[in-house]
Amino acid sequence: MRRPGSGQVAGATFTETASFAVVDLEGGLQLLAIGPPGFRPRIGDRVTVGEHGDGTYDMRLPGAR
Amino acid sequence: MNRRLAIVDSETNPFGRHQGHSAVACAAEVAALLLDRNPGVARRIGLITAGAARMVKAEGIGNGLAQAIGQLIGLPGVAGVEVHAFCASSNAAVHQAALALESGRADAALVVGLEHVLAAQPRGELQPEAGGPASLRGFSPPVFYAICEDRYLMETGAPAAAIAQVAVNNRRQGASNSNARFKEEVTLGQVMASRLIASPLTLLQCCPQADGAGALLLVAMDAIEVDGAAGAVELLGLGSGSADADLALLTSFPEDVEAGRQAYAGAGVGPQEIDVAEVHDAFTISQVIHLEDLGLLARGEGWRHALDAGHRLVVNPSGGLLARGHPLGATGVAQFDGVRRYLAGEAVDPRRRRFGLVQEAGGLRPLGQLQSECAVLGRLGA
Repeated sequence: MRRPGSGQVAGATFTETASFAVVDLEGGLQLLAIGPPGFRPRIGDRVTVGEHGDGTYDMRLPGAR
Repeated sequence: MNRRLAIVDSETNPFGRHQGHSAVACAAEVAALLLDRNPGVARRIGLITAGAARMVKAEGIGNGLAQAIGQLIGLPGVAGVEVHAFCASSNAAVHQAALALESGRADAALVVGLEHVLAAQPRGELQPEAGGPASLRGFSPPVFYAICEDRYLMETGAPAAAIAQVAVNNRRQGASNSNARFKEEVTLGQVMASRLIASPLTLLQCCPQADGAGALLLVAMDAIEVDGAAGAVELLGLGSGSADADLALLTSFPEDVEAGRQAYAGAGVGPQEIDVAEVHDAFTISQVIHLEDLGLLARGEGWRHALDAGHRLVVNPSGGLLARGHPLGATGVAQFDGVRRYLAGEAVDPRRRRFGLVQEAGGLRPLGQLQSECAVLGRLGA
């Protein structure tokens, strides 16, 4: 991931293939971030967000690789 | 409105899978039925508007839908306009026809809505559409609305079962709609236990896709006598809203608020006077949010409506998208048909069927493609 930032989950869901969250980034920007299957972000969780390289954003727990 | 307008008749075909049949031919069949039933209006039609979301994909037709239908129903010389507004395509087609009649451009218009979604793809699992990089990674409408529900449940304290109850209610109402794709009732247990699509949305909380077509006749009441027409209702107000892709807004959609504001103002009718509404229940949670945005239910309290069987506001009496199915461009006309039948029917005390509302949302917020259409209708003489 490039240019990581951190933020708080405002709303989230997961499917069989991925997890998704609207993340409130520090600075006021909101974006849709996508995580791996099995990742179950909850409202209020802090996540690290970075660009995926195709215009979408990845998310992971802070400190996770 | 500058001229008083009325919907004198409307019809849809059975929504379902129409493999091997052209959507244009299906729409023409429904339109021809209306013309046969209303020959006096048929002779006065000066405009055909056609709403479809993605006919290019379905049948390789990108232009000339209205004209093609006009040719098939014996109105080859009538001007046609094609409207694409995602799921709200035929709602927007009604809006465009109304504007034309208001301007004096025509005295009567035929509005058609059509879409073949299932017939355009092979049987089996539906494939995600390529709508950009996020879609290729699994993002889709149910994912967005699931995120909205996650937030809504947190903000309001509503139980997920209350949202799921919307599917139970709409499927129950759809059981009496002979044109609905699903006519079987479902229990809350079945809804909650159906396959998880995007947590907390389960399969039965997501509307089924469908092929379908519908049509309605819109007339100017100063030019065409409708007072004695059984089934006619007045089109009192229309509204249209759009908005940017603000992801901070997960539990309220400003395009709905604006569309409703315009429609209420045009009609001179407030949300507290609406007796019946057909709204966009593509997902159970979307019905709840739209009802709140339209002022039909109090903010944060919309979920309680699903649990109140005796509530004065009747929602999606035709079964909504959850039972009827969602042939995109045909859905709006089906919604108008549902409200018209409710207001003009005789099953309910006239005092409880004075005004009705139609709302449909098109597009998806994160993609920045949004259009909400709203209309207020009234029973003639109400």
